[in-house]
Amino acid sequence: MNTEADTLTLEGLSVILTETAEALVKDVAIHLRAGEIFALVGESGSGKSITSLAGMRLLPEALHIGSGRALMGATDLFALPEARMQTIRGRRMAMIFQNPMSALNPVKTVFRQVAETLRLHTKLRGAALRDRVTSLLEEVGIPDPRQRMDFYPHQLSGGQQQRIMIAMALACEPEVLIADEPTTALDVTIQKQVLELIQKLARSRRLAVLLITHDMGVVRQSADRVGVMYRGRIIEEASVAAFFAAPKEAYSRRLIDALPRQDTYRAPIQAPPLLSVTELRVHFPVRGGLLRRVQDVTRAVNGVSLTLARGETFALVGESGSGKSTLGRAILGLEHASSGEIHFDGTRIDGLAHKARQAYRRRIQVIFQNPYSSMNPRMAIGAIIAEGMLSLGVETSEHRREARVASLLERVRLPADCARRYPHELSGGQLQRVAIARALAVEPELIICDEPTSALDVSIRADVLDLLAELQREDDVAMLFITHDLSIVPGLAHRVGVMRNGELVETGSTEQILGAPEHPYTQALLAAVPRAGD
Amino acid sequence: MKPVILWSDALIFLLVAALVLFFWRLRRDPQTRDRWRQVFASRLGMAAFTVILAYVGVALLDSLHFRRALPPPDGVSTGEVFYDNQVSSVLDTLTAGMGERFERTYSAPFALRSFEKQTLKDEAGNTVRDFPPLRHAGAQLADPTEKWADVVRRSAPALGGGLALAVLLILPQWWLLRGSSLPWASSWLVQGILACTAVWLVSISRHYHVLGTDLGGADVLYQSLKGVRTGVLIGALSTLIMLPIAVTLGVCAGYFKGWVDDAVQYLYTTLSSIPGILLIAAAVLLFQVYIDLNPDAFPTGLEKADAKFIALCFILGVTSWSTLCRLIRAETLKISQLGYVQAAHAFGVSHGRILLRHILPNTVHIILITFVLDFSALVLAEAVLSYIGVGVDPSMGSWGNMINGARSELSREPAIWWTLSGAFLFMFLLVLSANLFADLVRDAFDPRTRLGPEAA
Repeated sequence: MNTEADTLTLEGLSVILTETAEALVKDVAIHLRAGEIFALVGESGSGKSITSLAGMRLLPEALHIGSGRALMGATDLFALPEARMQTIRGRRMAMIFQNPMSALNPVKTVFRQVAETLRLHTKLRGAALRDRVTSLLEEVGIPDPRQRMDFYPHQLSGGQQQRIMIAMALACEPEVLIADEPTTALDVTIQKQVLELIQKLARSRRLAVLLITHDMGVVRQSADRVGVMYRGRIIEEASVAAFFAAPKEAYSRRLIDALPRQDTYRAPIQAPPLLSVTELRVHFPVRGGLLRRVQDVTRAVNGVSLTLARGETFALVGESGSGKSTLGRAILGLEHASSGEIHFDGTRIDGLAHKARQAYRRRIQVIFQNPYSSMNPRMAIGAIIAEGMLSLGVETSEHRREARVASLLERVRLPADCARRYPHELSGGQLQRVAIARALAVEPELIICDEPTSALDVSIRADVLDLLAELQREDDVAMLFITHDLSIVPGLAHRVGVMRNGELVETGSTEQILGAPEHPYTQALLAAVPRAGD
Repeated sequence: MKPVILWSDALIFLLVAALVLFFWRLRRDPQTRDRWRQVFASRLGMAAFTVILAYVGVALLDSLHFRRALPPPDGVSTGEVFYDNQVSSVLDTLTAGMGERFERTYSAPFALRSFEKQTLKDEAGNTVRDFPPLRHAGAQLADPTEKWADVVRRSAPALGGGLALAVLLILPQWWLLRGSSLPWASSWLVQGILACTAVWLVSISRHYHVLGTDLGGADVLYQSLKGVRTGVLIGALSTLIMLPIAVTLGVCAGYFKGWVDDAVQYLYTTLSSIPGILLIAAAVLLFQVYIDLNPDAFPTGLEKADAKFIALCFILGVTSWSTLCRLIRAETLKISQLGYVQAAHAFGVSHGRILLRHILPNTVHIILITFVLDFSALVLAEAVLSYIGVGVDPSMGSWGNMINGARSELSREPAIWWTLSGAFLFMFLLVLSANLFADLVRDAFDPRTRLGPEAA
């Protein structure tokens, strides 16, 4: 390829783990061109972040660059002394990170943080500096920048924080922008806006963008070229159009296929309701003042009604803070309902005493979002799965319990020797299977799945969803599936409910909601979903 | 001979037994075993642990107390046996009477004459003021100029004996631990050095005061050795009294929240806003009054001192739990929001079981780290308290008391440096090893330090 036209070229890059001399990145070549977004896709641990850090020469101490060149024009960045490299970072290359909340300094105003890079690399001071920061904030779409400039990071929303990060990165007009999962921590509607902003800036400023992501939808939506990274190597590189039309490698095919299909819907099923929630409200008191009196309430769930039949999957969709998890917790009895009623199989179950509740604990189970934190790290997998059986008295003989654990492990397709292993020895996908086995152990009739796949890599996500669907068919379990990701809903749910600010704004069959949404919020959510298969 | 079991003796043995049991149980958890292996895989950890064990060993030997049977008084031939009012320990026997060779007052290390002049009568019967020769040190010498030659001559067999003891100690270990991947050699090296030093000190101190004598003419080396038990006990006992309070209150506050949390927070905020030394001083003086009013409860002086000592440990423990309690409360707040505790709730697991099975095991790293860190802090606290006069009873050997006794003597010319140095040396070695060991334990158990390399 013609290196003259490239803004930044990485050639034959390999990164080595110093302690074991193991190569984490092997012989990687990347050409970044002005005005173009190059997406580096791969699952966690594939080496994509390490590649970008190596390009900036910001590798953590345990790693070092084994070989390769990073050419910016005629200069090899890897051959420069550290002092020269510092003038290049920020000025000619800039980076934005995944979580803006932790990348911004909470005790400095936005102005001071954006101005910091400008002060370091330019001679702008005083009013000129303020003007420059204002125009930068304007460019990244911060409304009313003159006033917001003096805000602290916590006074801004997550999307605005990410915009500030981008403004900081752009402050010295770099030629290369490295964006490491810039939208993973954001809600879908905001993700779309941020991606559009990056796209717009790439065009208007002739930026060469290296976009690192695990989300094929994001690639499809914003990138021009794509490189697939797998176990430290780039196994395929192509233009986005060509890549999605005809991927060459089987692994790339899998990544694309892992994106759920958007065109097949599950037909709604007709059955009497198993769970019915009427006008449920969960309010959290906001205390303050001298004697910590209740001054106000946070209306996490504010008058929600829904029903769920045996064997049905109801997807509860909404952005973070919409109250969907609180609703799930209230059904589980982990949160106290302020008003309203929850009926399960004809019996009212909210406000039951501890003893009376036990019977329903067996029938309603839960799977959490983060598999790593939902397992006690000091208990073996077998003990984790058996805990519910023991506590709810499902299986009292130890021998039978062990046999049951073994059969459950087989059902979720884990090897039998897992029972003796500890959570840290398993991968995220395996742990989520253990969580499913744990829930199934007490033979529940309703499983509340609280974002069970959002912490998992795409290819594993599909496997876990398939497993859940299969178990539902076999056991006729009802599922309340809480998610922020509309893209997985079609092949999964019979019905969908969209939640916003504690209220259910729209419910209906999946086809109806995804095909012809009525509420403007649902329409906005749908429009923001990055799609791979158009 | 009649064995005497003091309260603190019983406690120290109980404590050692409990610790051994605790670590034995921890071994079953493979994760914990891995982390301990990491601690002991470093040579430094091995050496530091050996030194700590040596201190604990000395403390244990010093905790086996007995009263010697006295020879029947002249003219009395009843079968009744009288016992010495003085309580001795196995350590006293092993040091071959090091503590019984009193001089009149100060003498420098290896000195043959007293440090202070005295009015003497010479052979001619004239009264002169001169440094009198010591009663015990160098009594075997015909010519004082041969002193160093004598020391060297006596060192050779002593060191030989030390080496023999070292070989006796190390050989069975070597036999048992063949094929182990841990750096036992560093432990053996430290053991060898300690064995040689110990035998040499004991045999040389038969004829010299290696670290000199103090104001009352007592051997400083012996005093420092007696301080070991006090230091180890105060460190371990106070931490052990503090642990259950801190752990129970911290876990309950973090788990139950609400009014329980308010009450616990109120308690430790109040406690930590009272100056610690003042509180301790008041409590110690109160207990002193109790002892004075009830002389019958404590027949020997040692028992009186012992009761006072346990009270001190108790007070130190009761006043120092707030830091650990805060840490555990915070950790529990975090853990109780994690998925596995939520899942346990969903399974209807009882509160007690959640606390025991899910929360407590996940705060163990904090408890361990605090235990080893606080240990050295408490050894130092004892020295400070004894220095201001509210610490251990003066009749009980302790480093704090030695420092307290030596403080004014530092300002005289020529200075008396050895009492302070003796206490300093022993305390330094213990606190240094405890701190080095604590560092390694923290590195192995603190999830944050372990995250570092993994995140990279």
